[in-house]
Amino acid sequence: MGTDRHHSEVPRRVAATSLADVPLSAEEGFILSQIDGKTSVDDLELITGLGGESLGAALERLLSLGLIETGPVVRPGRGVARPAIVPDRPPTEPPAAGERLRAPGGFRPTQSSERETRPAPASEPRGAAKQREGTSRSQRTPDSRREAPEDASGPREPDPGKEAPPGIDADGKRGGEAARESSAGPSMPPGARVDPATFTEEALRRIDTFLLRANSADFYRLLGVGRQAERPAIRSAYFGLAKEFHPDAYFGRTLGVVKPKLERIFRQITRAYEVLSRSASRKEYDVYLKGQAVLGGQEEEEQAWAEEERRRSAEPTPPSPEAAAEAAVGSAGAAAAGEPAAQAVAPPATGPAAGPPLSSPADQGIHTGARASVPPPRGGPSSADAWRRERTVRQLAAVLSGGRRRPVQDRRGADYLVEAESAAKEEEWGRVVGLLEAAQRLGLNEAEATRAGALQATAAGQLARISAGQARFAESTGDVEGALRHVEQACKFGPDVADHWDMRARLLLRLGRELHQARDAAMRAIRLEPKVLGYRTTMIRVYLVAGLPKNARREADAALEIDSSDRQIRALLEEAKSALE
Amino acid sequence: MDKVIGIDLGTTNSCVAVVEEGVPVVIPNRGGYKTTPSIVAVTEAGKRLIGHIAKRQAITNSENTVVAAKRLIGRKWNSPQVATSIAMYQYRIVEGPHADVRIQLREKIYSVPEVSAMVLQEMKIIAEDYLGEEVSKAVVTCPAYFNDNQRQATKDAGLIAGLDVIRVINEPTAAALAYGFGKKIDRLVAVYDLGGGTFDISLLEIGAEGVFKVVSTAGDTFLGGEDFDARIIDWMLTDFQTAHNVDLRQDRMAMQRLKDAAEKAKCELSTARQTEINLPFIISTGRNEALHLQCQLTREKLEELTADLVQQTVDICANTMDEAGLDVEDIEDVVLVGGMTRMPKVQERVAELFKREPCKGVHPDEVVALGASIQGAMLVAEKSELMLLDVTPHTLGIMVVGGFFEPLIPKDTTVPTAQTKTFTTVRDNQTAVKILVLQGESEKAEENELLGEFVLTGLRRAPKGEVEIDVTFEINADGIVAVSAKDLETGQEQSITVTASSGLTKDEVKAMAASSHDYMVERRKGESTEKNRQEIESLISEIERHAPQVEEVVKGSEHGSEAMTKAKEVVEQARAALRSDKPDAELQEILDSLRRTLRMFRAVLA
Repeated sequence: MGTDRHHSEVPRRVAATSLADVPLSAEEGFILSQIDGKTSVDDLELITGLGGESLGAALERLLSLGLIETGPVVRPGRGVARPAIVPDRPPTEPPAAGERLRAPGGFRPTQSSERETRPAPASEPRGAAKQREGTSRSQRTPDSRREAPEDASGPREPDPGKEAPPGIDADGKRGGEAARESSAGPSMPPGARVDPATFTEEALRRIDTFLLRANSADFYRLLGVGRQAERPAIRSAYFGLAKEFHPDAYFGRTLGVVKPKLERIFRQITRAYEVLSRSASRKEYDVYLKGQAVLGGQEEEEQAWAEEERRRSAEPTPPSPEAAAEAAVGSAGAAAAGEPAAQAVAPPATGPAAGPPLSSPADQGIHTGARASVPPPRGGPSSADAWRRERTVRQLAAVLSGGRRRPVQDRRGADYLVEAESAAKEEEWGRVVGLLEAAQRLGLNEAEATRAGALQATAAGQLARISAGQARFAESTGDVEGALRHVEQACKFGPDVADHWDMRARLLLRLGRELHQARDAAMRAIRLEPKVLGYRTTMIRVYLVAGLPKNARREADAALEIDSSDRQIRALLEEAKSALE
Repeated sequence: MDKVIGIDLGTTNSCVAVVEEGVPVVIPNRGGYKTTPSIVAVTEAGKRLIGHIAKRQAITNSENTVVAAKRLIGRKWNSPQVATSIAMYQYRIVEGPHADVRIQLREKIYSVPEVSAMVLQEMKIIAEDYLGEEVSKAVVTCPAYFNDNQRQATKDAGLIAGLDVIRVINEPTAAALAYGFGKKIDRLVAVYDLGGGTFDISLLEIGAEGVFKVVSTAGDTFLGGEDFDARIIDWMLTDFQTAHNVDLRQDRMAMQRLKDAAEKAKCELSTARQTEINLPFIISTGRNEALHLQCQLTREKLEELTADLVQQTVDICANTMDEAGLDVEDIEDVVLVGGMTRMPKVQERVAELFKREPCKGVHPDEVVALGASIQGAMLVAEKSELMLLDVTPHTLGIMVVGGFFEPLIPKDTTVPTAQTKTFTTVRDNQTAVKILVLQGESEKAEENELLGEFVLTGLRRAPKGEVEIDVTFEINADGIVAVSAKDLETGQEQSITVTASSGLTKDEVKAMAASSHDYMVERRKGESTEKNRQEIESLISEIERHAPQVEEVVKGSEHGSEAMTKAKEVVEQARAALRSDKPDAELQEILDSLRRTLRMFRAVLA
């Protein structure tokens, strides 16, 4: 805290911003994923668990990138003045919001209670959400998939009756899920009223906050414990939350739409606890978190998670590899595991035990099929799905590290290749690279190897490009260290792009350390693109800083042979000469 | 706020408790006992007897005395447990109209929940007498391993008894609540509950926050003290047959005596090393000739007879810890619940298994009811200090093609919970699917308990495997299961709230509740009549005791003799009323005049 930000401000996503090329840090990505036009800055702080200052800084970066907008201007938290962004569209909050904004005690609580109790408009957004869901299901072309998140992240009218957790329904699907969840309980008529006496505004606010966390945060963050927390601390955290969010805490009272929310939160914290309280599953989960970070080329898993959420909710999973993966991995308490088709024997004539025969002419019995292109189960919309993914990644991580875990036996490299290809469609390049690596380790035939090679090149190129973009952005914000980390990724994935090496050299130079590395990098850039004077300039500078004026002079001479008129190089040459004397 | 009572509806004994000013207390019955036998009988005169009195007359009326109704509740007529019970008990078990189990007492046929309701009603009355107010809400316990049908039947029993059963909780869980209540402890506890008819083992995490989380639970709903008794009876029967070549099984009264003796011997052997079973004139063989059953039963013999039963419980415990991924070392305390845990061998084996002495701090007969009352109080509390996180004890799923059981919610999942799985069609152009909701652990659907079924229609005509159907199971905090199936393509959706069948329809339950209410009214009325009659009698005797003195005093006064005549008249009237069957209102009048007379007498004497 300690900034003069308006805590009640509600930032919104700007429509149709493509996120593919935006240089965001993991933290910023995570924050962006939580911005939905409903969550106030104050709540963001609560949800993301970030301190006010770093949140403020991140918000401003997002603002300056034009990714978000806000009605009232977000004032800089500290330091350099940032460009103030004037909203180019009317605020999406209803006019009344302004008044509430000024009211003491903040804006959110009022809003959330409103949202819970206003019954009328409930059906519309739900329907719409369902429709969106339907659309994204029926048109499974890559194009519609790619567009889905963008068009949905546009400005939305406030949905007072919608139960979707604020912050996640940045795209159609999540809303759809909320609708599914809400339609589940037969005991809960749509738009059921909440007895105002049951909940304090504070309680409602906490419920919404935790609903949000339940849907997006990792298990540690959800329970509010550190990664190193001991079991008793985890248990204590879980028990505290369980006491608060178990529906029995409100036994006998009218809960209306809050009930499914409580149940959802409770389910998720219970799962978090169950995973984290057993050392085996916790270890696996840690590997998963790490894998998310490593494979995604991210510093922080949150971004990976948030990305995951965003993409997941935007489109259905492409068929087969995932299911195959699960068959291999085996059931681990996840929502949906594919069943071997071998079970599909002829159905019996009647039901078991006392089940009277059915009068319907229909065939009786259904069989479990490979869970293919279906949206995540209601049980845990995002996380259950993420968990399925997580198992794949976990396996993968084990394979990659040659780990102690039982190697995947009944999975061929080809399965990984197929999965990599579908990951490519989702533009999850980090995963693509990891999956390809696994595929190659497990063995591919010739045709597959060619496919893998081509895909690897694409993925590497994309990763390099993204990393470079992030590096440039980081550099522009003065985060040289961060920029260096990104550029190292860029060099790793795109070693044949001179620009990456040059940038690496320049960054090392700026930090004034590991100059031999800077020299190597600069040299590589020059080797790749001998004609570019800019790379030569970097080289000369490296020599000068390193106290090697002779080398600097030689380099400058060589550069002037390409273009003798370059003033900068001439100046550097002079510098080298004077240093020599 | 309404008081919520906690009732431990046991196989052999029941117990009721309530939280008073933050302290849970067991309510004694009229006889001063803290537990009441779960026995219901109907006498030759059609009078209904419950509890100790029913138990006492069982020998002479075993055909019309229901014991261990809990072993039958929620079961299907064709289940093996019902067959065992028919062989084991003297009362008539008959098939009900919904393939359920009914019990015939004299001319009338009762459903099992009705019989259990009689016991619950008795517990309700005990609580009402104690509290001096009407009680309408209760938490009732059931064995952790009861399935949904059995739970529903227990709820129905409550309903019939005029109780709003706000929650059915598991017995070991209740015991743990009572054990950890007010202790602020962090502990992983095993509750070993061997009662009259059922066995349960539950592992719970107790947190200082006041949270009780069930980690794992298992059991056998047909393994308890009754089975131990049966072993002793069998032993006695065999012995007797060898000695006298007479099979006592044919004699109902003899069997009932054996049953009582077996139970008594079993209890005695918890403290004594050996006991004498002495049943003179157990059976008559021809004229003037009778046989006597006399034998010695040692503790060792009993242990030998029942070793496999104890072993079964130990195996279940070991399995459960295995499944929960816990080691014996993780268990920080062991709580023993149920009368059978008094048996030294049971304690010994449990201590051996868990490598620690079981906790001695709880009363094995009362702890469950106490826990139930705690749960009741904490549910209705404005802000409760406690929270119970329970699990679903059985796996829930649906039947898939081939008659297989496809689990959706595994056992020991903390509720509330929800799970979805996607299924697909098995035939070309299949337009409907039938969803059979099942509960159990068998891979074969038919071996599991059917909870309900419904049909999802209107599927698109498509090649098999193309249509996708999401099936979602939800269990809410009340343990109510909701199942929905949705065609992902058309959005067609069907759902049911699984009202597990207790074997009774809603209307039946309603009707039974009404008749039970009538019975209550009758009984309460009868009680007040009885009370009035008693008071009349005592007033008469007091008046007559004072009469000579009063006569002495008033003799000679102006209205003395007149008053005395009047008094005598009143007494005569009262006597007449006692002889006849006067309605309550008239008895009241007579009472009033008797009291006036006595007042007058006292005034004279003062």
